[in-house]
Amino acid sequence: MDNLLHLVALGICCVGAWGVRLLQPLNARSASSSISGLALILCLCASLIPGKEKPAQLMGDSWALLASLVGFLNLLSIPRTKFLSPGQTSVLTVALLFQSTAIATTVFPSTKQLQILLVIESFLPLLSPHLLPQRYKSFPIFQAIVLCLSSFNTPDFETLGKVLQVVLIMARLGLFPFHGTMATLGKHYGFSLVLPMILSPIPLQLLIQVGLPVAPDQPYHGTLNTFCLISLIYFPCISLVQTDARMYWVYLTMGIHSLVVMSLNQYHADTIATGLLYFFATWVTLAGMGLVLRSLESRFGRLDIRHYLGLYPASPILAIGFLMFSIGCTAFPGFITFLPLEIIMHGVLEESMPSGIILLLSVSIFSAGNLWVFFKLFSGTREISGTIFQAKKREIITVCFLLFIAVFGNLFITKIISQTTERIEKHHLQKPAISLQ
Amino acid sequence: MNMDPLILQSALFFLTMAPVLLLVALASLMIIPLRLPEPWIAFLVKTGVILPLISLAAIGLELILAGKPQITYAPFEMFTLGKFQFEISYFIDIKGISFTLLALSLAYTIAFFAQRYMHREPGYLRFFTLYSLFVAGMTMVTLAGTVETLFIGWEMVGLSSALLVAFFQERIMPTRNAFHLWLVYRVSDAALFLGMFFLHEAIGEVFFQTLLEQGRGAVGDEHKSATLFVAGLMIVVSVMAKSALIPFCGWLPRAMDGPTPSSAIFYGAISIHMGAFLLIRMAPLIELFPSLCWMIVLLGLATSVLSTIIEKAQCDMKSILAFSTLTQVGIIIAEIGMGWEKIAMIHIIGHAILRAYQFLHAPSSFQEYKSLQESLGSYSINQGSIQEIPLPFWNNQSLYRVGFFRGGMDEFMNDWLLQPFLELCRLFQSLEEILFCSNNTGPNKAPVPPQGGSHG
Repeated sequence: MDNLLHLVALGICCVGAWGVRLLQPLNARSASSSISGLALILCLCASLIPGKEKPAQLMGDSWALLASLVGFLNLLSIPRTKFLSPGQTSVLTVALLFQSTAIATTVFPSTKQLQILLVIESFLPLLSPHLLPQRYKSFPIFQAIVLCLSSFNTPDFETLGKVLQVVLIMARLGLFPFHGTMATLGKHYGFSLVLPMILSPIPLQLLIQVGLPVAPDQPYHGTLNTFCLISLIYFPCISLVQTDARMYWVYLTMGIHSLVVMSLNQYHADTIATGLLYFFATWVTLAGMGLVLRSLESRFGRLDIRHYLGLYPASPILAIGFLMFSIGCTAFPGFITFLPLEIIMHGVLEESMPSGIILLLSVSIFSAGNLWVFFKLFSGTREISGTIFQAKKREIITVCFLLFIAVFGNLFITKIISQTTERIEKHHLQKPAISLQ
Repeated sequence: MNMDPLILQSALFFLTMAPVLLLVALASLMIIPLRLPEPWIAFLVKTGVILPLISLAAIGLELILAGKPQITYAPFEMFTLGKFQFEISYFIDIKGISFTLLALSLAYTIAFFAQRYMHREPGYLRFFTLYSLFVAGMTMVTLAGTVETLFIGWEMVGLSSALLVAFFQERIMPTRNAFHLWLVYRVSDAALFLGMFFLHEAIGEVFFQTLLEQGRGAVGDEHKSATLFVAGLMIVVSVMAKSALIPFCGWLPRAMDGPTPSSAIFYGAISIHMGAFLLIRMAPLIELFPSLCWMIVLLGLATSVLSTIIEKAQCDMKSILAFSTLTQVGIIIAEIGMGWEKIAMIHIIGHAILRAYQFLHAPSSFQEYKSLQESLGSYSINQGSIQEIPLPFWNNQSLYRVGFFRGGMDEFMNDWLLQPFLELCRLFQSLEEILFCSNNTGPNKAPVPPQGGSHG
């Protein structure tokens, strides 16, 4: 009964996803954002119920709550231009189904259930095949096979299965060198669906469940750390030579994922807790950045950042939102990301000086790159007239809401970090370590 | 005489929180579609600056009359997680009061000037929002009680500075220059962060005062001493970038693209001296290592000499003023390296006031020269040019060339740091194309005209 509200939210999302297909496109847009908002309210109510502690799952209801929030804002601010071409309501259906899988992680938190959810989620883009890259189409099947292999319990297959599983999670989070599928998806697919797919909470939840019980001296941690470090060198560099704002965002997201994985991989309660909180915090800011980019793309097409696009006069609020989110995701003081990243950097620097310096440099490069993209998008001159390009109410609400969380979340961040650290020390790091060898 | 504790607490609150509240108010106004008239915005800004100024004056009086050496104020609780400690706290002593009084007085004067100077400018609110970000950051840096507080303020000053350089966003050059400035400031921030980390590692304290006092005791321990030296070195690197010392001096003339009031407060008065102020704050640590002191002296003198030469070859008012400023900043830094902190402080105050006036006066100076020329009959603007320097052994033209190319500092940074780094980025991009056949010749579709696309 603990999860009744989540179950209701899940049901509403699934039924709603089927129902919106029957409506007219613009009615469907309003209906889907209402359904998503209702599910968000239910998740919020569920997280406010006191005395409900589920030590098995780190951060408990927060996954569903934040994923629902991003899902709701994604649907709320989905642009009208999306519906100019026929048959686009499938986007709304898929977006609602993404939200329902995120809610389902709270209802079904065991490793096996999360694996199934991960596979289901990777099949969702196939429901909206418009612009889906060919490369992606075989990915869900490959994922299903890998997870089947990993479920074998014989000693011969166990290690191989676990390794494959970690590789798969890395591919979903976009860690080097398995980031190709996510990068291709980000490049070609509709932004409204790229956003929940890339910012999905399931791979990280699964990584925690697979990785946390592994003892710190195992090769698992060393190998994963190496991949994270390479990612932290590779993604900031590659993001700086992008010519498309959306691809910059994709590489930025993957870089930040590698930073999170690295902090989770330190096997200290404080870095794990702050890594998780940094993930949640950047979820808000990256979603904000992505939503602003999507709004701009809906007006001006793909944003070629080889030139100065001069979009500031067209939509100053989106420009301010983009600037705030972009400085927020690289932990500018005053944002919810600041304290978690400070702790992560201190933790990693203490553990290994070269890794810490790489981390610091990559954050600095990302932060420089964020301002560079901001300048490319909003500086310069462009002949723009008419009020059609100004930010719509839905978009202003989205920007304000996310900014509110990104700034005023600071009031609670210290308390949450302390509580999460205690919880990890109590329930997760005292388990007997499992060897991957 | 002791001030009533309630009044003292209120004064401390206004001193530390008024600039932050002003920033929040103006930033909210930028997002909320509510148009406030210009006089109201200016009134808000002036109130947000005058309140901490009055509060600081009152606290300063209290310190003098009660004979207290300092006051510490922590508006928030300390956060501790394992070895990690984080606290935002303020440390108000005579050094902090002197610099903050100067900074807030100039901030008020320049806000008053900007109220009219920026009249009917489309980005009026944006200018004052960024200005308030600077005031908030500057207050945090100058009154910081912990290294974390200082770091927060340091970043805020950096961002406001870069965004104000790019204020005229319809022009591309200011934007490029702002990005250049932002890159240098990121180096400064990263170095300061590392310095902060090493200080924690060596001493395990967050408070400035105890941290620096305990630093003396740590010198005996070889490991701690080495860590402290690296911390000091990182702080010097951070100061080099922030105060445009060699080899980072290329950003200073580029930063002149912003509006005149911001140039005055940033590069004439306060921001450019912030590195010197940090060195004054960290003097007890730096004095422990004579090699570091000598390095600072040499850096300061070299910057001073080079910027004097460059200044003589400049042809626009703001660049001349920028390099003149740098000459003095170099001398101030050298003074700190010699251990003459009080002289350096007096030098900072005098120089900041004079230079702020010169920057504000710059737009009308040519008119003034003209009228001076007309009334005197013959008055040469070219007085003091490079040709007039008596050089016994070096060709004036070679010197002019050094000045004209600004000592080759920009080329050095570009050829040895930026270009190799970009080459590496391009190499990674080629690797990406080979691995994943992701052709990065541009987005799928070129930006479409304003009729709108369907890629949302």
